Amino acid sequence: MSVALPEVTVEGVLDRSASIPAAAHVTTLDADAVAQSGAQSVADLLSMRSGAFVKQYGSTGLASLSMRGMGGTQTQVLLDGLRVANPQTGQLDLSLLPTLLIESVEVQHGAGSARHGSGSLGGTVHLETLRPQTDPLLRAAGGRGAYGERHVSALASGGQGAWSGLVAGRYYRTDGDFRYRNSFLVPAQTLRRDGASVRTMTFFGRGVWRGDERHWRLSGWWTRARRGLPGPASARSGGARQWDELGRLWTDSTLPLGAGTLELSAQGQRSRLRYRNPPTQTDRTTLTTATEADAELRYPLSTLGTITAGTTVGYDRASLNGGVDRLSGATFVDATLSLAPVELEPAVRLDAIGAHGAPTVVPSPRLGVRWRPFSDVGLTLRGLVGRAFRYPTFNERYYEPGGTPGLRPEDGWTTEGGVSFRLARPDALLTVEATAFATRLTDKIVWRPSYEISGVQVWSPANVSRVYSRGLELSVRGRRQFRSGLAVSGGSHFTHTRAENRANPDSPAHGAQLPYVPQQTWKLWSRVEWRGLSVSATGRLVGTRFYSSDESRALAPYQAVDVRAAYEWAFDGGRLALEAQVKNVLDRRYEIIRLYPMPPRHATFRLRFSFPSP
Amino acid sequence: MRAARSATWVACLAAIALLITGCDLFGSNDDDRRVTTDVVIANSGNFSAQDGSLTLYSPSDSTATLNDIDVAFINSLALHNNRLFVVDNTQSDNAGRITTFDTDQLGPIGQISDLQRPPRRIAFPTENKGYVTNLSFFDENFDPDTSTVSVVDLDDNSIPKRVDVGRSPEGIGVVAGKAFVANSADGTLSVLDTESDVVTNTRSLDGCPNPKSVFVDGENEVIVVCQGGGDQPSEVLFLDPDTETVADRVELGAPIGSANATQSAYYSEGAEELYAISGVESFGLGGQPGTGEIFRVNADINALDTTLEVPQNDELINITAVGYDDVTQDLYVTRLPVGDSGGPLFSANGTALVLDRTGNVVTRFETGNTPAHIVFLRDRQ
Repeated sequence: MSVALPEVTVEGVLDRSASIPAAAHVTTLDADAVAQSGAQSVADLLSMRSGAFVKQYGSTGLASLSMRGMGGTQTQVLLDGLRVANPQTGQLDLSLLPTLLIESVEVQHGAGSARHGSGSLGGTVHLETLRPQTDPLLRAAGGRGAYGERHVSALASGGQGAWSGLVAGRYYRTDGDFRYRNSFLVPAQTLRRDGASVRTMTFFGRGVWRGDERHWRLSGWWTRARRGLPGPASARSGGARQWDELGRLWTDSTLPLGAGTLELSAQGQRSRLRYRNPPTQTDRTTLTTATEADAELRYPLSTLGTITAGTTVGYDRASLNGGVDRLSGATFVDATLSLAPVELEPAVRLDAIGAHGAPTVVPSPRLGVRWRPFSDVGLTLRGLVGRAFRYPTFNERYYEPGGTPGLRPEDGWTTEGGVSFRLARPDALLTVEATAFATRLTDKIVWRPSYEISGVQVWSPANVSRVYSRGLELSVRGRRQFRSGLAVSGGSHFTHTRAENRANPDSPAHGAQLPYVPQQTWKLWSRVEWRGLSVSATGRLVGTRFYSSDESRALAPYQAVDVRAAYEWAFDGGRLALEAQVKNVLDRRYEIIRLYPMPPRHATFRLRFSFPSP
Repeated sequence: MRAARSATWVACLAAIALLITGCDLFGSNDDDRRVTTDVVIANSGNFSAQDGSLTLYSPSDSTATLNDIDVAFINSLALHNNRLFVVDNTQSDNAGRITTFDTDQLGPIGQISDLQRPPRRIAFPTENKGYVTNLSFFDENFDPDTSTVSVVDLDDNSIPKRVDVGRSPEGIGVVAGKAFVANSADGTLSVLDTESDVVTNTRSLDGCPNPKSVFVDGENEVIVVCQGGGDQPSEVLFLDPDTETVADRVELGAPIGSANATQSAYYSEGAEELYAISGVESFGLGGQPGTGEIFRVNADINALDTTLEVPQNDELINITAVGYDDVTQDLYVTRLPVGDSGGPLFSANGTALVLDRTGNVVTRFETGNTPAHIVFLRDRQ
């Protein structure tokens, strides 16, 4: 007798990247999860499907991550394993990175410097870009929505023999001119948000050669964005605009070396940022370049596990202050030792960073432990302790006026422990995970007034602050497939973060929650799919965010719910899908950052075509 | 005869008693009826949060109330025709507005906009006219450009005219049909004819670095507070408004300044006294830090009267604003909380100290974020 089991799509159980310790708390989003979210940018994706808090200045403004009480510069973003943050600002605007390029995402919570170096204090986001296949593939999509939103994208992939390639492009625009109430006017008025338009153009290309045991890839990404900076909604826009242009070329290859594997990679990235503000007659352009070359050797230790050793060299330059640069080098050893049922993950990395004079040397040790007490039950206990750091950005060191060349790196230690449970059946999957963490950060860099020029206070950064952050992260994911073809999936992330300033006992900020770090966030989503029809909903509940240092002033909690419905027609060789999405369906008026209103309820429509059917 | 003599004695004794007890037989002693109903402290707020607010302190029951009003970053306050003028900077357009509130309920009643530059101070040459000094914009080397004074029609809050003055115009004083505008970056005074709204003279103030605050005293002299800078000492100039020449100079002992670059001096009409603060202790002006001192200048005889020291405290730093209530004879100074490094914290509530005339602390109360300017609401009883 044969039984026809329903088709199973396994969600969120990709093998994690080799650079992520198994003892760390990780949220994995595979290609299906990315596609099913309906997110257009990585900022939207992480806001909806990860435990990270995305701090966004309005719907079209800068979007950066906050994890475990740490900010955007303290959270590392890696694209195919290589750092992507602008060395001048120390962060990447995630709203400029479209999900079109993304194959999968892994969000690693906590200290990651033992493997990834500077910037991995609060967490590390691993973005994997699309992989071309030799079979021909063509995808096209277009859509429009409220407030002048238009977008169109196309992707083509194919290959022959050992060679394959992929090209993709996307154009997106929005006017961002939704209505909001301006209570700063007398009398208060409801106005359209002005000066918030965005135009972005993105191209991505990749060529791959894949042999029996080795492969080589060459990839390129170029993005250009022009957007208005409307500023706080207490007044009309002054017409400030920003042009972001980012070009990036990277290559990586894998070679067998004895019983092990050698991975080589290199990248070059050039960022051009122009800022223009007519009222102050400011028109400033800065150029930064970042280059990096990595070599990693992964070697099996018979049945004991694996050991990975690597080295990195990098050179960064910025046009700031007449031209500044820095050289960096690092080497690391990272092992996984299986002593069943316990697994140990020791690692250490030594970074040396500097340009003029003696380099700054920072060791980053880490020890992770994972214990599976029962061989037949998917219960795992884990713990991790590690050091992480952040080297100062070019702006912090050299910005004129105010930069402080002698800044030290921020220094943090994280301890975390967690338990996870996974139940997998042919027609169902359930994962539950809980993690408690504590992080101590010293030498935190903050800007403070230092001197005056022509009656203007000049602010300078200094290593003067300390933070103690602790909290709890809970996540649940599940999926059930029924014989009728009905599939139900969903998940939730809850975080509680108490991130306190611990710098100066005489200050009212001492013991207070850091500004714009919500104490609680709760994200909940579900999806129902049946014969090509899918309906999904995503809810975010974000708690109070203080915007003063002494907890005297706060933004109210907000709740945002998005609903999305899609229907897919499969036909000979292809698939056509129509999507409708209503964002902020409860029509809440909310701000993530004070005076940067988010749009009220609005809809977008999208048509997708793919050939052949995936 | 005896009766007449007795009556005379009684009348004399009654007159002496009345003189001793200060009874106002002729109803002319108006000062005794003035009552300070509220001390209004404008809290600038945090510039990026645009969260200016007002703290109202009642001297009669020693209570302070924080009023969250929808204004951006407050630069200054002014009182005119039972209206409170709140002068603010708005970040988005690098300009600002002046919102008027009724002094009874503190409800917004009007708004002056289209200033095109951040407004700094407002003065009132006539009942229905306002002069607003507007801040300069800065180039990449932090050199300020020449700026303007906006002429405001207070009947409809329109701006019929903008008058070019010098760089970084700040304080403004009106007397004898003239308005005197301190151009702090130039070290000059622009003199405007209040009838025609044109600049009639731009007077150099030799030896007066960084002129900022301008007042008119009881003798109709124009007081200009030169804040000092670098090696140049601070001083107070007294000018004859007719000849526009310096009649007197009073040197102060330390650089004058507010840590929030707001109210560094206050002139009390009732007491005919000028108060100036050396409030920028933590990072200084032109490399010279302030001393935390408060200078009291007698504007009647044009001389330094006394120097007070603000009481030191590990939790507070700098001085941001000063105001003297001549009715209660209380001196109000506002201070900032310390931040991570012990320097000033501009993103937390401040503190107001109430001092007596000898500089002793009478009481203190919490203000909003970054207190910046003090005015007094008064009534007659």
